[in-house]
Amino acid sequence: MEIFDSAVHDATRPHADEALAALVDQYAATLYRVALSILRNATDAEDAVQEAFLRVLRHRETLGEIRDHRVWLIRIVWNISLDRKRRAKTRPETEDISELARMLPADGLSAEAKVSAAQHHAHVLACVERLPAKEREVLILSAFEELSSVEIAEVLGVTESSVRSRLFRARNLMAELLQRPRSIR
Amino acid sequence: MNPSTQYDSLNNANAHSGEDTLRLIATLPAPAGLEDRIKSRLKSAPGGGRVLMWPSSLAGGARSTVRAVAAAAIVFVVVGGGWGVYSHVKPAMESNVIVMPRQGDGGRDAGSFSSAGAMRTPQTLKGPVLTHPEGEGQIKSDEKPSEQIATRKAPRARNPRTKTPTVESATR
Repeated sequence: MEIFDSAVHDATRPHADEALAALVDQYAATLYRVALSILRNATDAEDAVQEAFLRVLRHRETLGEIRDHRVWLIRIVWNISLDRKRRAKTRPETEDISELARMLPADGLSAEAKVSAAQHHAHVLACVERLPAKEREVLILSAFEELSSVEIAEVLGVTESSVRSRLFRARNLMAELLQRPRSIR
Repeated sequence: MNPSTQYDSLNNANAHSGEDTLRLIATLPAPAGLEDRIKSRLKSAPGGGRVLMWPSSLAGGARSTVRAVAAAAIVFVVVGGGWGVYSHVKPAMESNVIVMPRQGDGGRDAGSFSSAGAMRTPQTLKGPVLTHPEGEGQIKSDEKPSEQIATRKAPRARNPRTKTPTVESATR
């Protein structure tokens, strides 16, 4: 999914609103998924996306200077979501994980298999939460197939090589965590 | 199969099963009407960080003139306010009496502390104090202790009138 960059680059102030609307149509769903992968809550994720576009609205005059709008927007919503997650300590994490596990698609499965799949997803998400922050962030972003390692590095503000090494460590840690029996948590 | 290879493949399978969950999250559809809600929120939001917008109907020359007039008005208000404050503040009245320092204080100011007539005496080094004349308290090593006591006591028991014969008188 590529945005029509020319539509934004040619946008002067009178056309800035139209360019912003085009960005909303183009990237709202992607930003929602990025926010959801961090916040694990649909309402919080939508709020984060709205806040991201409100920030873009304040800087809409500079839209033409942005080279890659997709990465730029993902970086904005990423930082907003991390900030929100840091501040929101009122709701227990397990509730969000079980809610998200129920949201994940399980088409063609029996009722019993659906419950089992939801439990498996919840276990995986709990293991992801136990990863160190740097490794967790890279692992979450790597799940977005539309993001290359260069773009992940740009979102996180690190080098591409460190993204790769963090991803390697994250996968090893995840494998170890998933191997342990579920009772040991 | 090598056990380590088996372990690695098992690890990879576990890791990939974990990443599958994350990929499922990454492909979740956005809720219906998300774009419309965001757009309506953006429309209702204030116009961003614009503090002062110049009317777009003004041409380029007129706009610069208006800017110059506005800047002059701001300068006028700031300078006028400063002058108003300055003109209302009166300095304190200067006194006609000149207070001279008193001569008796040795040139000190009137407000300083006095020595209250105390004299400073310099500390001198105290030397050793001799209680007996030199040679009187010395004890000869070849005398016996009893003789030493006797010779010590002898001057006390000596009558000042009787004179012991000296070597000089004996030779005479």
